Amino acid sequence: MSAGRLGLGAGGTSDALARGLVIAAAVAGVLGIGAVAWPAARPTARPLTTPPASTPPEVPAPRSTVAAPALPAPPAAAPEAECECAHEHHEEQGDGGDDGDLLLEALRQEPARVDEVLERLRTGSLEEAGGVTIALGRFRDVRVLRAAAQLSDARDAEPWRRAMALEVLDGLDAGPAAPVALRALADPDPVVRRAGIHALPPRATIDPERAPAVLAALGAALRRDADPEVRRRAALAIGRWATDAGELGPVLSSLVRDPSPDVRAGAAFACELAAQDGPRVRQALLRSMEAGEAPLVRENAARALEALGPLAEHERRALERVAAELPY
Amino acid sequence: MTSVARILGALLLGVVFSSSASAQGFIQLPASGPGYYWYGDSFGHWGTPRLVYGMERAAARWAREQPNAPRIGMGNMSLRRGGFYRGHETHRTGRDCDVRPIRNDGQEAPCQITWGTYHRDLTALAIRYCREATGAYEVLFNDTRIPNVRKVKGHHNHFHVSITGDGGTVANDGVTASVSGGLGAAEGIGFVGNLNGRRRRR
Repeated sequence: MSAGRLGLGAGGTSDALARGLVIAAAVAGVLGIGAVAWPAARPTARPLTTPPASTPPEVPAPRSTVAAPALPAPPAAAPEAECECAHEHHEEQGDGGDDGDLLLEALRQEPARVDEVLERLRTGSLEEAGGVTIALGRFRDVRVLRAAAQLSDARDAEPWRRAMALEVLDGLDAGPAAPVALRALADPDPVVRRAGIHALPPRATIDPERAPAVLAALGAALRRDADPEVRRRAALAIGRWATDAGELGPVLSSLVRDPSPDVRAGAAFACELAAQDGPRVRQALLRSMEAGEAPLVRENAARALEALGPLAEHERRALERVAAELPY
Repeated sequence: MTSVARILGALLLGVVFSSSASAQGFIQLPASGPGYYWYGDSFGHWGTPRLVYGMERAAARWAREQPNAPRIGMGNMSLRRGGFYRGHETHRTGRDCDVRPIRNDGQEAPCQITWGTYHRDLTALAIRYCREATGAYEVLFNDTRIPNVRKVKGHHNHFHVSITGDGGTVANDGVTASVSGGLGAAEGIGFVGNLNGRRRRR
């Protein structure tokens, strides 16, 4: 994918950033390619950082076959103040962090070297790419967002690599990832479609006017995708996004109709995540708690119903029945 | 690439990204969600549905009830198909999850119970949420001032949640087979974890 197609050339993006535009909105414009264009996005709760002026964001280099460069050296472990108490647990010491933490800390100390780490994601082996995804997903930098979005869209890249790029976007929780995630939903490879759903950012990070389009896309995936895991993740995503019981319609249908018990269990959990009350919601949950349904579907439905609040007598009895019959 | 490396790579791809969700019925915890973030190994956030839903449930409650606290750090669970997991030997069946102690400085970063940044009350609350949401039968943690935790070496920088039961796997549960059968590809993932562990520490 060329820089021109992304609209990143000639320093236009740098200028925009330099003018102090909200980064999420700027990148949303830059990424506004493909089927869904996003004219604006609300800034995320944890805004992405801009690269320092001396290191303007660059278009990621084309994928190459050269070996990935050495990663930034991890910083020396910073001494931490000890608590004042003198428990027996003082005997145990350690660095307290893992490799992802060390890499993340290194990136924060040397943000200009993020391109080296991104190169691992773009060209490294499975284990090399997997070794940097968590750190990149927590390094809230516009260059990471842009590179991960590009890689997610790169049809010539391996599906697993695109899935890892989407995993990075999942960690970033940035509004501009929404159109990328939606495009992934149309990918022929289920691995990419699954990762695309996880990459969908929280509803609060995008323009509210765009939420119905996202929910419609998720609803379509829930109804029609051949892969049960895609459907399950779509149900959960709707549960996280729904702000009223009406938006849970596709989830309630799946809760009682999907042939896969995994999907039905996910739909029940989605109702709990959504915490949106309504007669249809309660009715579907009660139906899913009946004997003969898979145990996890019953458990998730019972927990979702319980979380909705005051229960009618018949609901309370159904809840008690599930609690008595499940082996947990 | 040598043919051996190609074979290993193919096995690895099959384990991480095969077409089914997981032969064991495991599902993957998303990299972030309401109230939590990932840390640890990107290959190791798979678990039984009951564990994953339970941890997400705990985190969502955390987000609702502790909106000003840092998010909960969800660490290693199991590999996609379970089995041997280097450095996390007990995390074989998708029923275990490591969680970071909560810090008192708002940072979402490593923390030990001996550090001044350790927040005991919030950590105790996180343990309670995880226990209630998953039905955990045991929590391993070395701050024994928190009730109902068991001290085990190495658990000063995370608490370990263990659930029991069938884990809620609806699909055919082949965990036992994969563990006792020494699934080669699963060992490959452990190998990856080992690689990641060594690369940046040299």
